[in-house]
Amino acid sequence: MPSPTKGQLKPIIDGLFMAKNFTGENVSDFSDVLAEAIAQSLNMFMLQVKVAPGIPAPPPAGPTAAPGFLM
Amino acid sequence: MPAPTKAQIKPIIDGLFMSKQWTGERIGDLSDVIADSIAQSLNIFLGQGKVLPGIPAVVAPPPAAPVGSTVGPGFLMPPPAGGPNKGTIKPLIEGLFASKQFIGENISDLADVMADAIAQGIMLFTSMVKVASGIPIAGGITSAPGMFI
Repeated sequence: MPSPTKGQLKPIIDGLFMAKNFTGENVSDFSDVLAEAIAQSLNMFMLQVKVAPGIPAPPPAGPTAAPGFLM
Repeated sequence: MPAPTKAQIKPIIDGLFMSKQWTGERIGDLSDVIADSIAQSLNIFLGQGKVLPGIPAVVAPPPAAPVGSTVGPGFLMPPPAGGPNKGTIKPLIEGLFASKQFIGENISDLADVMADAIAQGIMLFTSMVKVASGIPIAGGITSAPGMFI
């Protein structure tokens, strides 16, 4: 899965909770749920969203000459 | 197809909480707030996200018609220009918590953590995910959607 994974996000979220002094016994479980939810949502985003056509690409080798937009 | 919706995300979060044996009476509302927060953030990302110019291409020169395809990956512009950052996301999460009557003294800090987590996830996405090469070009512009890889 090339979009961000739970394994990448969880340590970040653990650190954010620590920085706010959330130290309850369920914090790690909550961090786990949040990391997995964000990872799965970003993976869905990757699969559902496309780059819109219409990006100018002049001959002979481009490169594309303007930004592409998401759709 | 639009960005993932709350209706797509909430069942995932419900299942995750269930797997952790979280069964409190507010879990449904908490799951709702998280799902809505992620969905709204990704919808903002959909609107702000941009693919940077500079994708290499091979395009037939004149007198031929300008037909060809991209031959290299495209890169995404990072937030804040290319997606929402924490400052954009946090107020919407606070609003969602308020609408569900979550009023504990730590709610603002929790909204802060959630906003930061979603923003960093989007930031990582823009650095990791690329646009696949091979987008067809016709008339000197890309003529079909580009896919993420």
